[in-house]
Amino acid sequence: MVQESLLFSEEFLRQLEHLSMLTRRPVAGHLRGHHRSRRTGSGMVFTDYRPYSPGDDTRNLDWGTYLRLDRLILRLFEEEADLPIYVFLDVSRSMDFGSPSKFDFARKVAAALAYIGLLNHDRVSIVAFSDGVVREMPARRGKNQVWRALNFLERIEAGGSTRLQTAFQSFFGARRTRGLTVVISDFLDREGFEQSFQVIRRFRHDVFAVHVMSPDELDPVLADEVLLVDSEEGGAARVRVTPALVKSYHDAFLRYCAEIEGFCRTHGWGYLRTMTDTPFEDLMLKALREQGLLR
Amino acid sequence: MNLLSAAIAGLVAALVVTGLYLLKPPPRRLLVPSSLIWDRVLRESHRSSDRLRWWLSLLLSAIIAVSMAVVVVRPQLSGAGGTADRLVIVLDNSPTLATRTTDGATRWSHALAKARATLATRSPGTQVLLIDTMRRIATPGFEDRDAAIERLQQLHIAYGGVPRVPDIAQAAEAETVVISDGVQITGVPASARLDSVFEPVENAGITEFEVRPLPADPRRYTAFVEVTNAGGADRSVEIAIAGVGGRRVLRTVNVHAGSAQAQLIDISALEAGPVRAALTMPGDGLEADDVAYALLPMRRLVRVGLVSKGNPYLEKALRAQPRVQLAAMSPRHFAERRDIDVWVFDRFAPVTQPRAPALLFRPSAVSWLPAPGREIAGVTVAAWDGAHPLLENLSLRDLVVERAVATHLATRQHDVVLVSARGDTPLVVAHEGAARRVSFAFGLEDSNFALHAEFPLFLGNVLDWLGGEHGAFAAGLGVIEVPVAKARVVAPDGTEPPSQPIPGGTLFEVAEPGMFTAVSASQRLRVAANLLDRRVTEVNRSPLAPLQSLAVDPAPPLRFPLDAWTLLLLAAGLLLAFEWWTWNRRVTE
Repeated sequence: MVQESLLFSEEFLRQLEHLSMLTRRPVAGHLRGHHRSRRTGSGMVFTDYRPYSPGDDTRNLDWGTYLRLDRLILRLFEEEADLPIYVFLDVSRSMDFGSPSKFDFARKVAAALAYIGLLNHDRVSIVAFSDGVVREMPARRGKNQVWRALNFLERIEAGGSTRLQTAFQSFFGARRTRGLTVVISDFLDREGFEQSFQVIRRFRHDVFAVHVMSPDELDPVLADEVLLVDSEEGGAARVRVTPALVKSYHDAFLRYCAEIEGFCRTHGWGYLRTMTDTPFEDLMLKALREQGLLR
Repeated sequence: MNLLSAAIAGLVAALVVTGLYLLKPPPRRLLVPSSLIWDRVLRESHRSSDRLRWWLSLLLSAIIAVSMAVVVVRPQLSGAGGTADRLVIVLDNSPTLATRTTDGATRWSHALAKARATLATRSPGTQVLLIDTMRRIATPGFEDRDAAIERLQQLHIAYGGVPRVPDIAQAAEAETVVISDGVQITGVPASARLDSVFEPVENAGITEFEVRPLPADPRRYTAFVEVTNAGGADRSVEIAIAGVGGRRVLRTVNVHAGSAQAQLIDISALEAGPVRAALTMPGDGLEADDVAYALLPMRRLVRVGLVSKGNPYLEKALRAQPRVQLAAMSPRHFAERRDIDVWVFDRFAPVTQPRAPALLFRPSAVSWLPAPGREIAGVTVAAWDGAHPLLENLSLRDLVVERAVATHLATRQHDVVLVSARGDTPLVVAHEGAARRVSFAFGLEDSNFALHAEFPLFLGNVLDWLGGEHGAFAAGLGVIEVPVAKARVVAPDGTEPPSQPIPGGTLFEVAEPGMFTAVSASQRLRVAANLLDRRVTEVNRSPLAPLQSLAVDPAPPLRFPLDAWTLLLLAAGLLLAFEWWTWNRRVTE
C-alpha cells in the first residue's frame, strides 16, 4: 500500500505530466527517447554534414549540395535517446529529523521525479543509500512502472550513517550508462561531500543535488545547556548554548550549504536547497524548473 | 561572632556554592541529525574561554555567597585606622556638668556629644563599656556600639556622692576615654584619655542656708545665707528670701571673685513654713545652686508639764523660757494629760510612756526606758555632738558630773548619744523615734550644768526639738534617706516621687532643690533638699584646659548613611544582579 505521503493529488499529477527532466549533456541511452544523444541517427535535430560513404542511408543525402558542388554530402541528425536517471535517496538516520521529516520530504521528491521520468519513457533507477547502497530499484521505463517505483520508496526505512562516497562507488562501480544523477540528501557526511562528488564526476554523469534541510536544523531552539547527540554516530557533545554560539552554528550551516552549492556550480551541476516546510508544489513546479532540472 | 567563625561561615558558603555548581542537573539530551556542523562550530569557538567564563561565574557566585554569609554572622572586625575592639567610655555625670556653657548648652550635652562622636568613629562591632562617675549604671557591661549609643540617652546628671572613675575602667584593660569637666572627678586612670568639656563660666551659688532663732530672742528668726562666687570677677548678687504668703526679703551683696560671703537676714516678718532663698546673678552658670529651702518653725506657746519632787532651779529655768506655760506637779500627782506638749521628768518616770515627748533627768527604772545600770562617780565628759540641734551653739567643755547612772544603751533604734563620758558611757541620749525624748543619766543637781550660761539655751533647744518646732530634715540632692518608715513623699508641687521603703526609713531621689514632706501613719517630716555644696558651686575649679569652642550639639562626624554590613549586602546584591545579567545575556555561559 502506498503511503499517504507519497500520494499526489490528481491535479498535481496532471501538472507533473507536463514536465520532463532535463540534462545538460547528451545522453547515452540505448533506446529511443526524447533526449539528445551523442549518436547521430534518425532524429529531427540537424547536427552536421559528412561525405557520403557507401552504405549510408541515401534518404539523408543533401541533394541541393550535390547539385551545387557535385559531391554527395550526407546530412547528420542527432539521434534522440532515452535518459538514464539515477535518483539517489539518502535514507540515513540524519534524514529522519524534523517535522515533516527530511526523509519523508525526500521520498516525495524522489517519487515525483521518478513519476516524471517514467512518464517520459526515461529509464529511472532509484537508489536508497546511507553508508552504502541500501536498496536499489533497477532501471524502469514506462508509465506502468510508476506504482512499482512508489512501492519501492514506500518500503524503505531510514537507518545508518551517511557515506556518500561509499554509496556512489558501490553503485557506479558496476558499469552504468551515463545519465542524470539526482542526489536527494542532507549531505551531512562526516567524510565530506567533495570526494563523493568526485566519484560521480569521474563517471561524467550530469548531477543535480537536491539539498534537503529542516528549519529546526538551521535554526535550532535549544535550552541553556544541552547534550547534543549525533543521531548517526551516537556521539555526544555538551554545549552551553549562547546566542553567539547559535549564530555561529547558523552561519556554519549556511557556509556548509554554500560549499556544496559552490562545488556543484563549479562543475556545472544543478543544485537546489529546499526546506521541508516548502510547499511541495512550489518545489516541483517552480523551483526545480527554475534550477533547470525540469522543464 | 569572631573572625574565625566568620571565616568558617564564608568557607562553608563558598563550598556550598561550588557544590551546587558541580551538582547542577545534567543537561538535557537533544538528538540532532548530525553533530558535523556543531563539531565545526565548537572547534571554532574558544573552549578555554568557555571554561574561563565558567570559573568566572563560579567565582562571582562564591563571592556573593561569602558576602552574604559574612553579613549574616557579622564578625567583629577592627575599624579603619586600628581602632580598638574594646572601648571604655567613662562619662562624668556629676552635678557640675549641669553648668551652662557660653553657647547656651551645658557641659553635659557636650559630654554626650563627645561620647557619640567617639563611638561614631568605631566600627559597629566594637565592644563598648559605658560607665558613669556617679554609678547610675548599676551593672555596666560590654555591649556593641549601637547599644551603647542607646544607653547614652538614658544617662543623666546625678546628685549625691563623690564622682569617681570606677575601678572597673582599669580592670577592663581596654582603651579608656574619660569625658569630664574635671571639677570633681577623681580616680582617672593614668592610661585614660581625658576629653574635656570644661569651659570657665561665671557662677555664684548658695552654699549655706539655715533658719535660726536669735539666741537672745528665740521668738525671732534669722536666715543664715552663704553665697560663694566661683567666677573670675567680683559680682553683685541679689538674694531673695520668700516665705509663705508671698512676703519676701531682698538683699544685694557684693561677693569677691573666688570667695564666699555670709549674710544674716532677719526673717521674723515671714510666717512659719517653708522658706525659699533664691540667688539672682546675670550670666549665672549653674542653676541648681541658686535656690535653697529651709523651714521656719512655728512660734507658739509650749505647755510644759514638770514632774519633780522639787527642783526650784529647773522650774525657774523653765518658767524663764519664752512661750512656755509651765504646769509643775509632784510624781504622786502625775497623771497623763492631753493638754501637755512636753513633759519634764526629774528623777521620775511614769510606768507607761506618756503621749507627749519628754525630757528626763535620771529617770527611774521603767519598762519603756533603757534599764539603768550601776551608779558611777566622778564622771568626766569625753565628747558631745555639737552638730545636733539640741546642742547647737553650746559648749560642754566645763560640764562636771559628780554621779551618773551607767545606763546600758543597747543599740536601740533612733537613739542618739549627745554627750558621753569616758568609756563611751552615754550621759545624754536623744531618742528620735515617733515619740521623742531626751534622757539625762544624771540628775541636774549632780552636775554643774544648771549653772552653765548655755543651760537656758539648751532648755530652749530641747523644748523646740521636743515640741516639734525644729527645722526641716536637711538633705542634699540625690538619693535621700529619711528616718520615717513606710512614708510617702510629697513634692512641693504635690506630686509624689517614687520612694523605696527601707528598715526604719524611706528612700527617694531628688534632682533639684525643694521642700519635700515625708508622711507616714504616725509621723510627718519636712525634708529640705538643697545642693549647698561649695565643691559643686565652684564649677571653675578644674585642672583641665578650657576648650576654645564648643558647638551647641556638635554634629556627629560625617558618616556614610549605610554601615559596612549594609554596604556589603548591597555589593552582594549588585554582584548577584550582575551575575544574573551576564548569565541571562549568556556572557558567563
